[in-house]
Amino acid sequence: MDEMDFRYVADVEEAAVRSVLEGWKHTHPGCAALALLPEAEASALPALQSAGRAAGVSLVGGVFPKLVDGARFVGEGAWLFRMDGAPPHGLVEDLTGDADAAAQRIAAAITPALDARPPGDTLFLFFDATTPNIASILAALYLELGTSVRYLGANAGSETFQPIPCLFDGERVSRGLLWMLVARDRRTLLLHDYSVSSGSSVATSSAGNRIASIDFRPAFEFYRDTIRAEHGIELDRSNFYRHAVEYPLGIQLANGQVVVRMPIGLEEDGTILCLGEVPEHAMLAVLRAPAPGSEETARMLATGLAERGSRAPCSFFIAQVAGFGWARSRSATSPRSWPPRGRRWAAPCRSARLARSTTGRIPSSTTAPSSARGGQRVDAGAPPLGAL
Amino acid sequence: MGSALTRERLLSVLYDMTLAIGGELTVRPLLTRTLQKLLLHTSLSVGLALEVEEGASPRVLLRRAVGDRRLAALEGQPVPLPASWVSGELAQLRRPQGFPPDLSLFEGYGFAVRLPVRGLGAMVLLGPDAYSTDLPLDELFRPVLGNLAKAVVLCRANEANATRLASEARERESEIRRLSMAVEQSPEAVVITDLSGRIEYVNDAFLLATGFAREDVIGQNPSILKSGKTPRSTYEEMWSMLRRGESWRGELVNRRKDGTEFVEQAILSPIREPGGRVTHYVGIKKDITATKRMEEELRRHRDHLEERVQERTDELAAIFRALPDLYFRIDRRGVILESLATSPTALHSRPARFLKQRIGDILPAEAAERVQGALERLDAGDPVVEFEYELSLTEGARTYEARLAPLGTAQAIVILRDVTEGNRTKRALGEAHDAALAANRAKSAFLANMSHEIRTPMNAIIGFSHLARAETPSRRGRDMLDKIARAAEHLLAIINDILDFSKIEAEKMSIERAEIDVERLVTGVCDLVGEAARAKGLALTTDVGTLPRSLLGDGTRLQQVLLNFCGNAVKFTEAGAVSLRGAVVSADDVTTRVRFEVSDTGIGLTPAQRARLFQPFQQADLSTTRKYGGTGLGLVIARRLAQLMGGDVGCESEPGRGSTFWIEVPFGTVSSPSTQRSRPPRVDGGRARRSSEPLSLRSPSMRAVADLAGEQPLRVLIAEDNELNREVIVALLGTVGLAPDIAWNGLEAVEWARARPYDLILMDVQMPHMSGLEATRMIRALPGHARTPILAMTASASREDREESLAAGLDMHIAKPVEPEALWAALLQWWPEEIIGAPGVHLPGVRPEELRALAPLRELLGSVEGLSVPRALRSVEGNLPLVVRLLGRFRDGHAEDAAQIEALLRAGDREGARRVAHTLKGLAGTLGLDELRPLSDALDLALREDAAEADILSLVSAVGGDLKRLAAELDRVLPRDGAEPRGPSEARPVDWPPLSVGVARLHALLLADDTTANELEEELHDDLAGALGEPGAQLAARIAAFDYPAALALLREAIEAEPRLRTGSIPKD
Repeated sequence: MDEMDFRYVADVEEAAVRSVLEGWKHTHPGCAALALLPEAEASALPALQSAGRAAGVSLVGGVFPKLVDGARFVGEGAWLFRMDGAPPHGLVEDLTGDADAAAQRIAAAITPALDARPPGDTLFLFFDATTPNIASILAALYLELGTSVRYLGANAGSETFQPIPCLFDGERVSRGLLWMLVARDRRTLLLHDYSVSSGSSVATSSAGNRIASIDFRPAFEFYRDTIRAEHGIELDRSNFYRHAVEYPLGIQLANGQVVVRMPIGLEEDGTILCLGEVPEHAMLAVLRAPAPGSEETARMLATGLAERGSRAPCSFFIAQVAGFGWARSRSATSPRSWPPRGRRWAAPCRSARLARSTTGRIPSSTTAPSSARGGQRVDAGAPPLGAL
Repeated sequence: MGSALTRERLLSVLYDMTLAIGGELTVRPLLTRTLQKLLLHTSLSVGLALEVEEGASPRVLLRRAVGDRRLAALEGQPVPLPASWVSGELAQLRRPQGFPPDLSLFEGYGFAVRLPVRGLGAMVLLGPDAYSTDLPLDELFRPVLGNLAKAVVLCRANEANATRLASEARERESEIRRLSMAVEQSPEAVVITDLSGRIEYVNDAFLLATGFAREDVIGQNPSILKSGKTPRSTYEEMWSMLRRGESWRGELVNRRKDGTEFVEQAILSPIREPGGRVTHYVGIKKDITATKRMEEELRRHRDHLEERVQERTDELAAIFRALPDLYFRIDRRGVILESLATSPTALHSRPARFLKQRIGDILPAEAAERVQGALERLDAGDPVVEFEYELSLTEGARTYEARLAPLGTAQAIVILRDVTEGNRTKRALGEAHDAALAANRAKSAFLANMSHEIRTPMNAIIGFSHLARAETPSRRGRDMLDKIARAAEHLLAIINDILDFSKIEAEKMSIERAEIDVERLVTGVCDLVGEAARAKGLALTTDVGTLPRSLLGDGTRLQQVLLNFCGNAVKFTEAGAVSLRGAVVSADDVTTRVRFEVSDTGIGLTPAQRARLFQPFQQADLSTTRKYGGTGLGLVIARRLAQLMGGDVGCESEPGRGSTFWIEVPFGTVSSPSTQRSRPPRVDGGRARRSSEPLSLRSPSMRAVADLAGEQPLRVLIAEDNELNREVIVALLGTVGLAPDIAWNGLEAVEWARARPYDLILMDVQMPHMSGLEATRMIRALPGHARTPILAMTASASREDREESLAAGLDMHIAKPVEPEALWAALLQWWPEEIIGAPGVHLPGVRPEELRALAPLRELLGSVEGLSVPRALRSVEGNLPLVVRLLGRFRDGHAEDAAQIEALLRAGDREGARRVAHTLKGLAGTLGLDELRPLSDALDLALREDAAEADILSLVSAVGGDLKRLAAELDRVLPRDGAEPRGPSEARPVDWPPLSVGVARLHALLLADDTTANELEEELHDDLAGALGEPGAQLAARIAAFDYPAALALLREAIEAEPRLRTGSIPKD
């Protein structure tokens, strides 16, 4: 995305959307559009698709719990992003079942477009957040595509974690995966800024995204005792979600990276449900969110962008990690003033503070794609972490 | 290890790696998972698993590449890395230090970690130049690499094991499949039950044997097959053995689904698990119903055989008692071991006397030698040796027949039979048989001659009646000639019938296959029966329009059948119509099956009469025979002919409603462009032809011949030894203006031919001095006669004769008696294109003045005893003057034949005598000499069969007597030396007044064109002939020809010349 334009459309009506799209088409013939819809506006999707078809602009996008506009969450309207050069894209439906097979289908869909383009593309992936084995699919996809692309992405879906058709193109809406190949882009970074706050423990019994026991104790019991011991917070079933987003679990890697696994549910027997897979015997740690008001994350972003040769002003997304929302910022920050070198890329861009500041609400989830890439530098070409 | 990293983090890496390494069973996933984990924990992007292939020149294979599609494409291939580099120590390398000399493989990467794996090669992790980490890479993975090496070994072993197991499993499966197929396809029924007897499996043979469907029996107890015929004890024993874990074998009488019973031989066995526990029972059963039946059969046979042996023994004993033969059992040296004689006198001694004796000691030397010789032949392998020998006994010589047969290798059986009487009888029988054969040969010869002998006189009869008719002016005369002709034809037909029937019965009738012109055949039939139909006022219709133009078959025989049907139809129908229809029943390229039907409106037939049809010598009933005549052979012949042609005949009829006779025959299909054409049905007859109209005086073919002869006289040579036959033909040719040269035998014919060119030669086949065949061969060899048409005349009409004729060079065959029409047809066929020269021989014709004397002459001849004038006339086509001349010549030439025969016999020339007698016989037939004929016949036969001389002489004497009597009679009516015979009319005075009245009436009738004129002329004929002379004959001829104007003119001239004929009623012009 050499250049990006994005608009917030307050009333998702065909005419309004079409007007924006036609304007873009006029100034940038051949452009495509990415649309972000809040869950509450899902019924407006047909109008959105219709506008895209009417304007002759290829339109893709996803449905999310909320959007971020300025410093607030919004449940209405839509964000439209112009994508120049008509990036190749597609929907891959039904990712249930074997991860290897799913990855092979995704690779088969992508490879023809990839082979036709110069190297260095970024593969942007929107997963349905309820897909149970995203990490395994990503690991298997790395076996297929390797370092031929840079990986970037996010999850879409409902705040209720109930499966809904949440990914769409000009005609269809589906569950599964929306992929886009965008030209080499050095201005996009994804970071989280959680830090490890506890010693390592072992997920002694887990399957998929369910952790039954940690260090041979019921998972919730272990988690509650650790939170109490380290942070003095008394967890129970009623306040579980509120605190879990502040103190998620993380899978530790030898290179110091931490893969965030946000607890989102609790079962009767103490089993903790996470967003993202937790392999059995994985080394777990309890993480801690950055302090409210911290500018650390923004600084890390600026530094990261500066390292990759991108200069201000630039536009970037901010993932609303807790609420699947998207924020935008037009602010250009001097990269040089941002964190000192040598600091590991562990701190996420945590807009949750914005959310908290506006809604006072503790979202219950962290983003899957950001977790997939962790805080690592996207141009390093390192493998996704689903294999853990 | 950096101080910033906690011990737990590093341990977690090792823990994770150990889990990954220990979690795989095969090499490739092991390598993949390990590389994934290494990359994950190091943040490096590409991992390679490299294998060093040991050997004289070790090489490096890329086993697995993760994270780089370019390198992944090289998996399984050798890569440009030195084995020594791969086998190097664990190290972190930065380009170019430590990197392999060929950098192409690591293109794009500046950092590498080499992790050696014992027994494999190394894992190499690649990253960018700028890669940095605080992980103690040199140390961190060391502990897991040993495990990885072991895991590789284990996975390889596991893979080999798995491969072997898979192969074994495949073999086992294949074995199981084979066994399963063997059971499935076993011809013996297989059933498997659980321990409670519930059927779990049956094969197809079981279903086939029992008639049940699989779903009928699965889950059921095999007792559904119980018939109730198997003894209870069988089941008890079976279950007892099975429960003890033993196999049971036995027979069960079971019942199929359809209720039929069958016997099964069953083997029931327990099936055991590997542990020995019985889990199922298996039954293998074979249907032995047929075997049981055969066994039973065999047993019955065996029992029966014993009975039969006893019976046969008794039978043989009885035979021995009944036989007149003597029986000896001897050894091969000729010593008698046993003897038996049913008659005490047969051996002329007590049998016991011969025991232990050598045959040579009791038989005369000659007989003993024969016995010895016979024994030697038995030793040589002859199954039976027979010989006869004689013994001189006191009561005379006896002949014995000895038969020797081997009994094992050491003994022989001798049967002796006294054949003295038998030989005597056999000799007598042989002589009788020879005599019978000779008689049969004579009979065959006689029958063969019958045709010739019968037809020759018929020739004369038919020919002369034809001629006589032409010369007979009076209607009555012609009428009588017609009757003669009809009678002769009828007789000929009967003879032909009998000969045909005999031929068919003797299987001598052969069927020809030639092209049949269907229309001509049908027209021929109509022509032949048309006259009779017209005479009865019957309409004769034909409808063969849908038939092909030509068919392949025997047209003569088909026509014969149709003629018979049509002839019968006309004969048995008084009013109405006769129709002949033909239609194709079926047709293909080869065969056309045709059905002809002849329907009439006649008297019809009752079912009983119908049943008798087609039986030899049967007519519908005896009254029919009386009324309609006939031999009753016609339909039989028709049926036999039809059958010979591959078809059949039949009849549908009801009394009073007419009959339909049909023949259906398969003919050969003739493939020609238009074998079928539409022909309109033909209606013939329907009106009665006036009886006075000449029927065959001048047929169209005769007219054609006469016309041709007028333009181009034909040079004809006739070779005929029989004087009468010769005259008939000469006379026939004379009627058309032809005057042939005449040869009396073959030799003369050759001489004539040598001297003159001929356009046509008619050749009798059987002639003295030289046969017609020999003469033909010689004539053919003469210059200018290679192509002269030579036509055979013979009564022998067999195919063999014809073939012989053609082989000798004869061109055609005319059957005798020569039918005028056949002669005309032959002449027309062989008439040359151009004629050279002119005829040289004059045939004596009928002098016009003779006509006047004919009628009285005929009456005169009628008074000759032993002379049948009609028969004589038939021989010469009704030519009375010819008959008169022939009779005169007969009187002059043959009155002394008896004396000549006697002289020849005295001189020993029996053949010469026979020839004279034969000629006499023929003449007697031709001239209607009814008393001479049977006598000369008998004489001819007696001479031919070499009868006793006394018999012959007695016949010669009888013939001589009749000849003398005939000569005297003929002297009475025929003036010698050409003097005109004196007719009675000349003596009768003309009664003028009544004649004048008659003439006046005749004049009026002629004037009115009234055909009653013909009748009146008949009435007045004799008076007119007497009164008018020559003009009277002319007048009669004109009236007969219905030329009334000419007749009227003649009559007026006559009245003008003879005033006594005038009456007042005749108008003058």
